[in-house]
Amino acid sequence: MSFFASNDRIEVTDTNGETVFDTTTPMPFITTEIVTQVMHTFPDSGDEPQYQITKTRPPFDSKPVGTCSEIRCDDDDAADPCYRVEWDPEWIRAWNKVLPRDHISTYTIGSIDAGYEPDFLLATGELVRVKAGRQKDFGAFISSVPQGERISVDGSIVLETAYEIGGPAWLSRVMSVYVEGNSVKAEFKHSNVAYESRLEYRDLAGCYGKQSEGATPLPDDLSSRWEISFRILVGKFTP
Amino acid sequence: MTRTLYANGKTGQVFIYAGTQDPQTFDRPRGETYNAIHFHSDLSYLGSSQVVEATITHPKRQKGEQTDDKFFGLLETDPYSVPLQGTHEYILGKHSAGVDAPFVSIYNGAQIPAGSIIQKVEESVRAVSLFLTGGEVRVFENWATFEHSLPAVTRTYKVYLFETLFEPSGRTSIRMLPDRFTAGFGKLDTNYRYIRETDTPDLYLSVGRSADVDGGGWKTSSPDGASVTTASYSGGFVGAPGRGVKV
Repeated sequence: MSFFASNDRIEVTDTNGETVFDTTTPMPFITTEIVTQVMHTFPDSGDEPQYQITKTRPPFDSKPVGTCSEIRCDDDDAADPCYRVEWDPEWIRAWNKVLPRDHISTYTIGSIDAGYEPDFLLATGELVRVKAGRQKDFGAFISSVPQGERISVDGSIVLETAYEIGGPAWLSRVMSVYVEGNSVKAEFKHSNVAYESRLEYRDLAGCYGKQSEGATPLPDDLSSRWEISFRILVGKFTP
Repeated sequence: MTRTLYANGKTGQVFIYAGTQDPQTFDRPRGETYNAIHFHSDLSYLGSSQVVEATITHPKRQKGEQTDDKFFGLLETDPYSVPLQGTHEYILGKHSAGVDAPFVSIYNGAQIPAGSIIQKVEESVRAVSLFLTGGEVRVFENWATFEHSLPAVTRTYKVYLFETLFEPSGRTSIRMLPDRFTAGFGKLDTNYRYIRETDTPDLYLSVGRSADVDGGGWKTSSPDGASVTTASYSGGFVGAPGRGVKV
């Protein structure tokens, strides 16, 4: 062990000669400990029913086939694929379309002294997905967060993801812990593009002057609720 | 710059600071005084408690059976594999740091956020989070397959667990022995392994976000420069810088 002190430096080494403390090397220390809980609900993104009439009777059988967000059962319009006098039940298909949405919510979960800027956070958390968002075709969104277990949440973590079949993610959610001014913040951020469900609903009654309730696709419920218990150490490096 | 070592004979406080200010300035470390303090017996410090490292072989995850079931018939004209997903836990090793110990996870040399993807075959993915129980470090795996199986894969994980020196111990202000130096009620102790900044770091400490979402996709960007991006991510996230430390 050695203790060395000069006018501009103080250094301490252990019995192996390893430096334990040196004023020329910045060393992290803890200024604040925050223990708190946050609950957040990611909202649903909204839905739009989608319909398609695949076939029709003469004399309208040359009409275009297209996708509609509403089927109007009234006098026919030869150019409008969504306008029908009538159809047979097996000629209509219905499915749900999730609308695109971006969402961000920020919570102040702690405060720190004025007069200095923290250099780091060391954060752990126990996360519980109380309610899982889900799509009716593939089920609950994928989450790699072990429920109720203590994970590191330094910076950010990926909470939930949903993928297209054979394609990229269409929905993602992350949670971040960071410093802003004299506050420690927890931010929940969501992004989804439009998604058309692979789950198809068949019309059972047809349209004879009135839209059938049996053809209305059920909405997807994207809302998730998370409860998080944090332990956050706010720290700074020595000069 | 001059460094001052001060020990208070009444309170037993010990502090080392930059400059020659009146020691009373540092009686109660706070806000603006943090910028000049090298050591203070009232502050809390971080040390290395344990490093747990292990290699795990994640087994093959088979894609689902092919079907042309009309369940998805509206938008799929070709046969498709039924999407599958599942979870599994692996024990990485034992630890004695306590279940609420701060820790940092390293995968293949990169500092990863929880939920990171460690394997991807087209759209099929395997993602993990490392977590602590009372006595073990574990890996939680969540996998999902679509049109491609995930072959078995071997991955090495390392976890740095930190010990926090919050509470003072004993009544000693400064003590020097041939084999040990202690000061500030045990807050500065040659038997302790403090983490310190270095140009060749084991890990980074940061104060900012490390992931973002946009366009339905996500991107992670860790302070060590490691980054993972899903194909649909359309934002411009670059991550936050960090300071490297040696354990």
